[in-house]
Amino acid sequence: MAWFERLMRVHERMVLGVAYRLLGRMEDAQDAAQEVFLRLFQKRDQIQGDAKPWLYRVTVNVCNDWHRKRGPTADPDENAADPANDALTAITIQDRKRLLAEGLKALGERERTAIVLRDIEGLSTREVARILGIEEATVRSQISVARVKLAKYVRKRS
Amino acid sequence: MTCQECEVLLGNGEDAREHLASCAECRMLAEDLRLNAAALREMRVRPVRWPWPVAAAAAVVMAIGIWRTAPDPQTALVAGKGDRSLLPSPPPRSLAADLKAGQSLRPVKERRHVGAAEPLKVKMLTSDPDVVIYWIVDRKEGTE
Repeated sequence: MAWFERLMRVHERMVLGVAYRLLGRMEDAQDAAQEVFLRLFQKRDQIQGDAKPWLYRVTVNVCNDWHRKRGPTADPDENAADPANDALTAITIQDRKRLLAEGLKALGERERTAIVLRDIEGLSTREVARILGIEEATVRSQISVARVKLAKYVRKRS
Repeated sequence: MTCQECEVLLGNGEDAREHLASCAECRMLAEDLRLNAAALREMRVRPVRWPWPVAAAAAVVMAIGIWRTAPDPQTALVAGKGDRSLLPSPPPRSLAADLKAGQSLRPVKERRHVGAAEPLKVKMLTSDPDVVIYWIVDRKEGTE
């Protein structure tokens, strides 16, 4: 039990942070984080070594299940602001973060997951590939597409 | 190189200097990507170490608050649902505020049944896994 408590204490914020970025709503993220730690508790005898990759993987799976249950997210273009202003506008870092958070919700599930793990969590492409169980080249492609989509999303609304 | 090819390179964090020199649109994209990368890094939730005096002050304030309101002991009970009752302290709702404020210290009430006269134990978790603060509030029978 001490092992479990320690793991929870150490990784609680990471799990909640990833779930929040993937789901976009704190209430959902908290439920997802609880589900992740419930699974960790149930599988505590099977996990050996560093639990972090396992926690990332399960967090992503739980959040993806959540998305499937909840249905597709809104099309980003439906809520698009008037793109008439093409001028280079300086926006504050807070505005940029807010727009990025919105943009993350508008991304597809795979792209969002890849960019959250790579660019927010700071994992390497190899680690992301291992967690998601896909090729590194696929991760690189998803991240590249996601970054460009996010950049266009932010520019359109800033 | 086309703008589309340039986008792929920039998205991968690769060099597209030649194209950028002649394309204002892609230069703008490159700048946006750079600024976004910095902002995304800042969006990561990082635990912040609180200094001891702040942690102690927070414990005292909480304890006084609990003492003054003298809540029903039932409020300290958390009914478990199946296996969830086995979890020591699932991620609390207050972390929502923590994520925004970048805080790491939070109060967690012990999630177990306590008797009416049993002292109320407040557990303060800190970002340091080796540091846990317990605040024990003695409760007299008949105060509820």
